Amino acid sequence: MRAPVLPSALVLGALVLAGALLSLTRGAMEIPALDSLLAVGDALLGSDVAELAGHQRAVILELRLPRTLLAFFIGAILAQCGAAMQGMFRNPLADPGIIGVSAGAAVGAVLAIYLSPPDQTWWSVPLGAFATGLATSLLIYKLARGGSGTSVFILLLAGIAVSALAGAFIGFISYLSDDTRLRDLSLWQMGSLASADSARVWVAAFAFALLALRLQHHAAALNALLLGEPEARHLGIEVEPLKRELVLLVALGVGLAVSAAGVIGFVGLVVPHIVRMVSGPCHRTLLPLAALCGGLLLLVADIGARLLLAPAELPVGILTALLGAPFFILLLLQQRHRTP
Amino acid sequence: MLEIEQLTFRHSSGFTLCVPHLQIAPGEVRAVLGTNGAGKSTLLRLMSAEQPSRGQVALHGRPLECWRPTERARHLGVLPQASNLDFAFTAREVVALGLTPLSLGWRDAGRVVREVMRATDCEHLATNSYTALSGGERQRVHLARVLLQLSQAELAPVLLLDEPTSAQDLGQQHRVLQLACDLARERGYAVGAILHDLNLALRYAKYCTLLHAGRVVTCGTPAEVISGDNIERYWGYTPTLLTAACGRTVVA
Repeated sequence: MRAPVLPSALVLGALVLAGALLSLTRGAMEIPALDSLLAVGDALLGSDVAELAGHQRAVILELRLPRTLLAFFIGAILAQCGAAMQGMFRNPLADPGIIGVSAGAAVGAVLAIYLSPPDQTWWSVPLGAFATGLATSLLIYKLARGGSGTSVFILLLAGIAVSALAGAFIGFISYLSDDTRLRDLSLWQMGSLASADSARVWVAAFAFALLALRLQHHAAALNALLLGEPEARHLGIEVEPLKRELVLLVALGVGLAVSAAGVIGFVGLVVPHIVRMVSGPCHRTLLPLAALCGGLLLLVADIGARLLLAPAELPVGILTALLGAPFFILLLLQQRHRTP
Repeated sequence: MLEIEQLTFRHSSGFTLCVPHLQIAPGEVRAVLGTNGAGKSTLLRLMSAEQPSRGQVALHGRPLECWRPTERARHLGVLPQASNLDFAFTAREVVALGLTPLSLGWRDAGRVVREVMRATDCEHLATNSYTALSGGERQRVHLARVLLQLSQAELAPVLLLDEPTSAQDLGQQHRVLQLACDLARERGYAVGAILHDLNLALRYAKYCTLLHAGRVVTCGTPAEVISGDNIERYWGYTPTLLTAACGRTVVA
């Protein structure tokens, strides 16, 4: 039994809004909730209604607001990338990291953390993560391309091999690092949204919009691709250019997410799967619902990351796994019971 | 009209398929016969440009590669032997994938989807999950999808079927092939079907092509191709050919 699409989208939208409000109004510093919201209104409208001190206003506008938006956009990007990759690989359990972009991005970031002085990492880590993520996925895509098209099996195997290689490389760099860098490396690898600022939010918003528009444009083709590549070709889909664009979009999305927030696993793997179970596999509805659901999951995870051990902070990657994995296992078990 | 000229394909295993000339004309059902490994499915893949080959395959006189992909999809449909779609679409959604190369409004689309599902006897499965269907039902759902894709063709469409009756019960086998014959007769479809059941070929095909070890060994009417000699020589089985009361030959 499927849930109707429009009510699902409305419920998800309302939950995202509620999550965003919670994320804005709650944190390590006690700030009245109403004034927190008014401060955002002030910033948007140029008014001065909120009764807040300067430092409180700064916490809302320069820390919580960018962080809230970044959490939503990164979650939405990761979920959309997951949905696209699962469609392309025709495997509902495929992960965006599977084509190697997460591993490749991690290599660039780790290298940047290791090589650049601590005061330069604000630009070197994102750039390194994005550049190597994109380069790795292009390399893997080239490796997997044969005479009669791209072999999904080789693409998957190449992704696994590159991930293993990247793991070894990161292990080696960690071994060489001193204590401070080792801590930075570990924290970055676990994922955090603490570095959110307006520049990162704008870039993430742009990537989110690009992915949403292009993937929705290819929704029918992605549906046809689920039948298999020969069948998609028989249905008039130009499969090779489609796959090339999908690989690039996912590389962009995941590379950007990794560079802005570190390795946040699980969102791209599980969110599309959950949405598919609730509202069916059609990409026209799957892609926007997965974006909303992914944004919501990361918002909630980030609120938890900030509040559970406040004023200390948990890496959000740990929480996404803690929140999503049991739910996912539950759904899998339910499905197993339903199908004889 | 689908025409093959000087088609050669060499597989890395050493298997070679050579077809100097083959034509499937509008209004005819052509059965492609042969033993396992004769090259029937390979021929079908080459005829639909699924696999690159030397030689030329032309659809309505124009090489396949010169057609725009969506335009070609509206004129050339291929029913695969089996599909391993692993996502829980409903049967109607799978059929509706056939709308991909078409540009129909939702009202027309709904009507045509219902028509093809009725024609393939799967209308009652519309809201069932595809993954819960039987093999035969899945095959008919895909047949409906392919028929939908060809439903708006401007020129006579070509329908290629890879063992369309392999998963069907006796009644459905005849219904599927009768539908192919009706489409050929009434709407000018050119149908090429790989068949293993020689009796079905005798009953429904207008022409037969017999493949053996990658070569076309004979072409002609079913009665000419499905002879006792040919069955003995290529299938290694000595058949009993009976003549039914209606005058039709039956292979036993």
